[in-house]
Amino acid sequence: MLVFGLSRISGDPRSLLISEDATIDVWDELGREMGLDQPVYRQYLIYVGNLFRGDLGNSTLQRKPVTEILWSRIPNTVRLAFASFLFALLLGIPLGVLSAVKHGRWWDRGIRAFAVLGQALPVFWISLVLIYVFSVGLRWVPVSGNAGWTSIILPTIALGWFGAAGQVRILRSSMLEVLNSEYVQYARAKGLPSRTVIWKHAFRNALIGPITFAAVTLAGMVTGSIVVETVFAWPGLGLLAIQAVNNSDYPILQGLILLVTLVYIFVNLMVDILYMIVDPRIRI
Amino acid sequence: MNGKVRPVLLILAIIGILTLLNACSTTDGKSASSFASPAATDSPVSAITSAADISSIAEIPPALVTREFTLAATDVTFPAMVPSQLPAAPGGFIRRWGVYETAMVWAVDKPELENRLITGWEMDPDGLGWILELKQGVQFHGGWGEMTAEDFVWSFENEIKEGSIHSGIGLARANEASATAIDTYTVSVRLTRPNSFFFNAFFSNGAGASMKIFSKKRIETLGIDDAFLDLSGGTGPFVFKKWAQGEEVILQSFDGYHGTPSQVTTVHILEIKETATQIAALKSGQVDASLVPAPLAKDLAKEPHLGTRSFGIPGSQRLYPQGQFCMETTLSGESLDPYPRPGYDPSKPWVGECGNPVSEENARLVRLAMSMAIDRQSIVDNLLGGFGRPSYLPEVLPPLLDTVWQDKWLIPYDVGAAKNLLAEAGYPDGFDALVRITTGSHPLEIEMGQAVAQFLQALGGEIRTEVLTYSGNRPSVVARERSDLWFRSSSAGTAEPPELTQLRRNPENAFNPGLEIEEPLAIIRQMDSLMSEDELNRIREQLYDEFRHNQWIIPVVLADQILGINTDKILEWKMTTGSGYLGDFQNIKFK
Repeated sequence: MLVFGLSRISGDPRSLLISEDATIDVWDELGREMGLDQPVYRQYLIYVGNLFRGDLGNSTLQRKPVTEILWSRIPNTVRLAFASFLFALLLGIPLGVLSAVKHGRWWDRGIRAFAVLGQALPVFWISLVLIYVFSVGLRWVPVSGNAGWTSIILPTIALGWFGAAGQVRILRSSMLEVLNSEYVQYARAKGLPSRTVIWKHAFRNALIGPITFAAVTLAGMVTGSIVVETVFAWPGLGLLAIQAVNNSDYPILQGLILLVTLVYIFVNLMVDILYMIVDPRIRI
Repeated sequence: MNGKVRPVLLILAIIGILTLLNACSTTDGKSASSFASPAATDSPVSAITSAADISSIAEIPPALVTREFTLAATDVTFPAMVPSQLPAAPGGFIRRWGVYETAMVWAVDKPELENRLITGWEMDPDGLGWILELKQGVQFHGGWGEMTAEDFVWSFENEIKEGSIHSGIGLARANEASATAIDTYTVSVRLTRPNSFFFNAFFSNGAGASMKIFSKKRIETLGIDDAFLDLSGGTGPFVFKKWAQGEEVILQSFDGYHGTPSQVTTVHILEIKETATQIAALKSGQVDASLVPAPLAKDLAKEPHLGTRSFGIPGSQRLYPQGQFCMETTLSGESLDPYPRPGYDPSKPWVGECGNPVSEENARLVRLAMSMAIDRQSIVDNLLGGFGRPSYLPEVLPPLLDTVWQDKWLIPYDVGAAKNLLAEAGYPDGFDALVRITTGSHPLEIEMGQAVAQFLQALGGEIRTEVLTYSGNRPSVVARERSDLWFRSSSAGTAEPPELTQLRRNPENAFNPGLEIEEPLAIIRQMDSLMSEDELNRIREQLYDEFRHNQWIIPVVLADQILGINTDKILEWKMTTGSGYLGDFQNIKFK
């Protein structure tokens, strides 16, 4: 119901399809064709009925099945999301651990500054700065679009930046807690090499918080890359969402919101399973 | 492993993963629309192919030197390639991009129509129709054969048939327009009532209703549903090569074109929604041209390889004092339903009580005072960066004509005089009002609307503003429910006079700017039956006098559309009037 209701907020698609001086008859006729002449509750029942049959309907503008349109964009969004996720992990984990291990030193202060900035700076601004430095200034990579592997670099950094900064903060905090625990001090007292203590004993036990955050970040990257995809004209689901809102394309919006919901449910399930793997004491 | 080697390996691993991810993707084709060609297949159904196959069937000039041109566009809406289902906006750009053509086009450098798909025309002696001689040898893209009178008549009838969403349907139906093929290359178009706007509206490229000529054979072969998605069948200098919705459109020059071939062989139209990204793409050289928002235009022009210029017909920004509903019937005598209109509210200072001359005069003074309180030049200078001009007329005149007209109907900016008028009308302390600002046509419409509200505030009283989308506002406008002030923009490039076009079809039709007054409609109706341009201009002048005197609609500014262009690459690019979309790529000359 929420999905259905939210998609209606974007306006009436007829105003984009016909000119403003079209007759009221034309307006009504188009409404009949699009099913907009029905009462909203009936439109909702039709929508639910079709949903149970796996039919998300056709785009009002493109007249193609919504599933086909979504499938055409999913690879791009997944590619960007996973690249950004990897970027966030590869940057966030080492920095988070380093910050905890070098607690109170300049390393720690520098990394904490990065983390605060990373979470405070709007992704829109970061995206534009990246574009103006690396595309306009240095001309190393294209400004926008999806033409070749270099196109993904800037959107990856822009989308992964927030996740990396968050990962640093969460991991640093949980690592500090674990590093001060008795079993880690015992491991040190046994004379184990520092690397073993950090990565084998401390890191694994500090992972519960970061895993939750990483999962939410990943889900957010898959579903919430609207700003990044719009700024970089990256043809994924986020850009599709903006286009669907602009065009009041209800069926696409409904399909997108449904997809977002499913992604979050799936990711949360995966997180619960990962908990069990990381900490055998946890049982669902 | 050496500690210095490890970071290098890590970076290599990241690059490897990104490359792998990239290789797994499908960058083109999946979302692209398809093309059909009778030459490619015998079966209408199997003629619909995937975009991956497009290059094999699109007509690509074999031996031309590739001259590519790349354009950034904000919104590229997928067109329905059936005349009756083609929405107004894509209807504009498939014509503007040179894929589909109209019978005539406005000349680039003079206010004259030139033949495009016809070789000549003449008006019927009774002034109720025209005979059009079609150009011979015009081939449809995709191998659909030569354009004939049959295609013309079919396209015309399909555009105006029951249920069509074509912009011209109201105009055509109100005049019971019909088309007949006289022979293979001759068409007769008839109306039952004279209408001086019809010819330009349908047969030139200067109006939303411009009639594109589609191949009848194509639609009959493919069927409506497949033809809807199929992008072949135009007659212009460019053929669609790829359409990836929301991503990119590629046009290829058509080597069977009936006119002068284009110097540009390939046009890439990249859909970039974010303006800052468009500008960055222009600065970096990724695109050769882009529209530029007024506040950025001057800075952009300072870049060594970039230039800016105004082009086409500007967008019109105006204030509607809504609620002026004083007609019980249409000019044809049909009763209005409902009457009185729900938005009729003579308690509003700008709405006169119908039939009460004193009240109507006071309302006129209020409207004139509002008009005089707006510092139009300030809006042009401070919001539009100089790319625009004050507007005093109810319609947008082509740039080549407007210098003749502007001064006579000028409204001076004079707050003191405006206050005096208000006092005379019985509002010495001003009045409270709501200014609705609708969005969707100009990037600065909210700012301009708020500026107008600020100027009105200077008259006294409290002026509130409310911002909403055009589509959100439309139902109440259609229902004639509004009696507040509405600041609205029209996007640039509408060569048809937006107010007059709407008014002359109202109150029969849907949209209305809050004005149903007999006098202007009667003058507009007179214009319909005029046969000579001199007479038309005389009546038009009379209409403008009336608008100047009554301020039924308060014109504010004309906002130029600004083009940013790579001057290192582009030597010349002449665009005809008639649309806000960048186009006429065949007129581009490279350095």
